Amino acid sequence: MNAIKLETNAYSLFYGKFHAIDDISLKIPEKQVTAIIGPSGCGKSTFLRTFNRMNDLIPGVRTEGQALLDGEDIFSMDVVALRQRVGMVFQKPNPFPKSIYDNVAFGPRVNGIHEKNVLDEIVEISLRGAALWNEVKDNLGKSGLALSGGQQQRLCIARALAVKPSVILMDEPAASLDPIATQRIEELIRQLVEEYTIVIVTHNMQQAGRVSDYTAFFFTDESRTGKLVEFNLTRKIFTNPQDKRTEDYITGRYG
Amino acid sequence: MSEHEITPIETVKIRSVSASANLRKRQASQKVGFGLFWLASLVVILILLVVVGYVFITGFKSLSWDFLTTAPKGGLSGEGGISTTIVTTIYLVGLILVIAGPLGIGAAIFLIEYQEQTKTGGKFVQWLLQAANFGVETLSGIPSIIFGLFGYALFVSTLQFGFSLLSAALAGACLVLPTIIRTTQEALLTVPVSLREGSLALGATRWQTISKVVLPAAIPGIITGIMLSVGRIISETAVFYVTLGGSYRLPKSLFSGGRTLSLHLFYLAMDTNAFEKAMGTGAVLIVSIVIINLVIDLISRKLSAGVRQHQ
Repeated sequence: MNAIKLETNAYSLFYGKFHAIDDISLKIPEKQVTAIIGPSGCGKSTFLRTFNRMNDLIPGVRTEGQALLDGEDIFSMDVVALRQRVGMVFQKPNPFPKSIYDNVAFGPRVNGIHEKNVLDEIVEISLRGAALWNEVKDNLGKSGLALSGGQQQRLCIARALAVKPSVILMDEPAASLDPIATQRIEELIRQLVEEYTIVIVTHNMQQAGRVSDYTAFFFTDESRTGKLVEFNLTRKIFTNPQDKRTEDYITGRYG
Repeated sequence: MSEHEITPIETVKIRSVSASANLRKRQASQKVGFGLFWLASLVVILILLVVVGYVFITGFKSLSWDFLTTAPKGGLSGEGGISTTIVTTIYLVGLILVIAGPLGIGAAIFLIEYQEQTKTGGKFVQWLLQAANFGVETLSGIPSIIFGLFGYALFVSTLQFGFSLLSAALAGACLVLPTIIRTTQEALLTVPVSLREGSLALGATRWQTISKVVLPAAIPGIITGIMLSVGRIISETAVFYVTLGGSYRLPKSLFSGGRTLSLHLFYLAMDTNAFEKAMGTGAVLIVSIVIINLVIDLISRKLSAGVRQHQ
């Protein structure tokens, strides 16, 4: 197993009085794809958003336990600095209403890079990294919104790469895409894992099976509190689950 | 399932009979309903046409290029044109926007973007935010003459600004602040959360997110608010009646008084027998309001097109 990139210890999260996720201890290895699967409302996205502290935006959120990036406490880091190290791709492509170039250059610019040649280089490398360069290289001034859904999502990936993070969080990145665009995103994830640690939340178990090295299965009961049931190599989760609930879920016994 | 199991043939019969009888009735009431709506909108359009038509027809004789470009000469017969009042109106609009624009937009940004601090911030911040929100709501419902009297008491007499552009601009700023704050708040709220998250997730600070992503996306809405305020200032009389004085001469400094178009209209109608000139002035006012509304319409159409594109 690779070095540990992200880690939680006895981590719980509350929205006001609502106990959203309970006592999760998980070690996410570096430069691997870790999928988080489980039914709706089991706290997968909330858990994912712990690692770039997107939950900070929601009023009344309280956490217990530890969350670590490279062994450092996430909650005592500067949140802006943290988000430069941990990028995120959202469920719905959310390019800014700006040109393709300005979308990719946004992150470097807010981090203080303004030299044109440096930006040009970052934009090209990032778009190549997101397998979008060949499709857009002649139209960098075109609005990001004019691209197709799948291209928009790859633009958002390029935008995340431009900040040079070491971790990329993906919250159901292909949920709003057609099968062909989904396939391209999945291929891209397998390329990106050469250099990045990727954590992906997905509803689609086949997708988890195709793209991930490790899988964490989250589950919840009537209490709506999300718990970690099982974490293991993806092939083990899919071929030899240790927990009955995992087995029921991956064999489709839950609706 | 068991409770739905009624003998099938009978059910069908009963349903079909009652449905068609009912259908005629429903269609009839729909016709009556639509008829009433039609009538209502017709009446509204008629009233509008009568008012505008009356003003234009009576004011038509006095409308000319000369009327627009010569200064009023005062007197019982209301000699002269309206040039200085047009200029004064423009001065006042500019001044008020310079004061109320940044203040209102800033307040709206604070109220929306730092809203969660009402829950997480200290007691004092919470209290401040609630007070501000409540204040905006209350201010927008206050009759304008109260802003006028307040302006008179504070700016004209206490601060010794006199009947002047400055007093009128400060009082007018209080008048349009709620409009600017409200429309800016609404414009900020139409910017999708996903854009804010996208920016924050790239390591942008909150201020960078607001200034580089949220504000540019909200600009059409903010401009709409500004244009609404311009309309409000142009048509306002009460506030300026008690703060701007009534001189028909061109103001020379911030401390000279003056007349806006609508104030001039008021004076013409009350103090002179130049009724046609009052109506001519009214026609000019109506035209400028129509132009402003067309601009707002254009902008908001552009805005909604932009939002649609994003969804």
